Amino acid sequence: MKLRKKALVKSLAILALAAAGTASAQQLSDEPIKPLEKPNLDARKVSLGRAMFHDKRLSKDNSLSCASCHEISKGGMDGRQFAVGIKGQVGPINTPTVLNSGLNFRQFWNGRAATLEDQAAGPVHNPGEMGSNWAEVLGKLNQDAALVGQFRALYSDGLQPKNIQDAIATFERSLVTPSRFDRYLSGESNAINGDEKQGYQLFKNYGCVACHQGQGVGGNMYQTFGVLGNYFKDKGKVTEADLGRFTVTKNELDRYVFKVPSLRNVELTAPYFHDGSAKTLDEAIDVMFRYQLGRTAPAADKALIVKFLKTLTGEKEMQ
Amino acid sequence: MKTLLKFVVFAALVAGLVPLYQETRGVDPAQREAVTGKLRELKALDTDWNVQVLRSKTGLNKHYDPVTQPERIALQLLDAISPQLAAYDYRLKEQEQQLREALMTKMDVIDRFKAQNAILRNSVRYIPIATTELKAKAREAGDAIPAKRAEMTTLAGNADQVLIDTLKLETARDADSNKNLRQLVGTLVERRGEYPQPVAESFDTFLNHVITISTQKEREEELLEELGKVPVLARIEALDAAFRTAFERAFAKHEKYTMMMYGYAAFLLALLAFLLGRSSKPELQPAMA
Repeated sequence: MKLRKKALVKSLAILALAAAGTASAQQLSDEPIKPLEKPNLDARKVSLGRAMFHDKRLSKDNSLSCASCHEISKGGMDGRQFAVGIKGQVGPINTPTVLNSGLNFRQFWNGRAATLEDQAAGPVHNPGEMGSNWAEVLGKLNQDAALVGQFRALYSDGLQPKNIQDAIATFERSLVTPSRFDRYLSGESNAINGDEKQGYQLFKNYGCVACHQGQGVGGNMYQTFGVLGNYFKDKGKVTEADLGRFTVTKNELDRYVFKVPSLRNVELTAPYFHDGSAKTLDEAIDVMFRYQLGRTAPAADKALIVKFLKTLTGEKEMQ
Repeated sequence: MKTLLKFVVFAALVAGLVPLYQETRGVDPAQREAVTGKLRELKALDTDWNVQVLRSKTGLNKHYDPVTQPERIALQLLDAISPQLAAYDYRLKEQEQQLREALMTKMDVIDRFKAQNAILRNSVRYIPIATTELKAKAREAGDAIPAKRAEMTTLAGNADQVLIDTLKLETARDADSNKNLRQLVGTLVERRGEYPQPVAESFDTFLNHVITISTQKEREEELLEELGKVPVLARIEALDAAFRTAFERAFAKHEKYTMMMYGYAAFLLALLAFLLGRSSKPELQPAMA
């Protein structure tokens, strides 16, 4: 009798735990941030794309590869305020991370490339970046019999610019970085601690989540930089890069409009903003509160938000 | 020599089958199904896309992925049928282009909607807090400066009224409400210079968000109206109808040429039989005397 009672209590406890687990998972399914999904990609193309991503022959003087500015092991960017191209030319804008770039709805800060494939061709042709062109690149790559063979094996028309772009884009799509926060969203409630949970709640309450949401925690919309305060007036000297999407559309409504960056791995991608003006995450949060949210917050709340943001760092070391 | 000539003539006649055969190729009813199926998918996607925009507007969508993902799928669907459209009738290209332009316009409007909606949501979420903060500052100022107490009490009351009117904008689609709100805010702004410094700062933040909500509500209406005018559905239907017509025309031509090819092949077979029959006929021997 006693044994039956014990078994009954045990079963009830298991049921209660299961119910609690289900409830928690259901609750998290309604969050503004969604867990990362693993893309289904051709492993051979990923491997070829990885090789092309690290291939310096894409640049005119064979000095730079995509990885020179987008160091995979360092958050997918270069850690500089502005990108540096061939012959040490300093570019006009901060390098965005390549990690999780497959989730971005457009590419570049001003969204001028619709796809990663389009984006891959941009730096190759930019005189301030790789300073080359496809004819030159193909001239060099065609001398590499092994590489030509690899392209022929994967693409019916072999080594072509569009296939190089496709391979690089496929590799970039593979750069997804599941984090502790993804595990939390998937129902593992202990994946983040109390402070981090509180930070997430503040991130939502203060309205950061209005733009930084979805699977990419951003990257799926444009927004004006300086919604509730004039960032560029306070900054002073306005550069062409500061004009944002206006440089693409020439529409006045797009002046100072930028793609909202993903906050995944934000801990690793300082300095922040298109102008690399915020050197730390705390500084970046201050700017966001002032110009985007139009409000202030106690330092303790900002510190908790930073703690939450750090849970978005990928758990697996990327190479 | 004569046999060679016959062979050449026959080969030339057989070669005549080639252009006929060519004309019968390239029209496959399965292709029609593939194209119209993709256009149907596009239509369903477009309808759902509109629903997702409305869900985002009302705050039912917690993020913008559902209004962003259809962009890529729509263009992929159109890209998938593009080669088939060109194969049937070059004029379909023009209609395809018109649909593509409509989709790009829709994407542009939705991009603006997302930005507008995010700003609105942020301010709507914050305005009750901003009101509470302003009232607290007003109360503190009233307690500290008795001469200002009455004015601060009025300000707190007006702030509550502004909050109510602002939140009403969320539920009522009424141009008058917005106008009334702006009038009320205008009277408060006129007295801004009289407020003690901490109250004035809090008031500025409060005001900033009230104006944002008022402006963004107007912008929301404009954008949704603009979105409703983008003729994506009409252009899908136009392309679908034009494709069906082009396909039927191509199919009728295909049928005609198929019949012609069969007729011609039958003629060649008959000719071949005739020639073979003639060549195998034994020559008549002269009769013996």
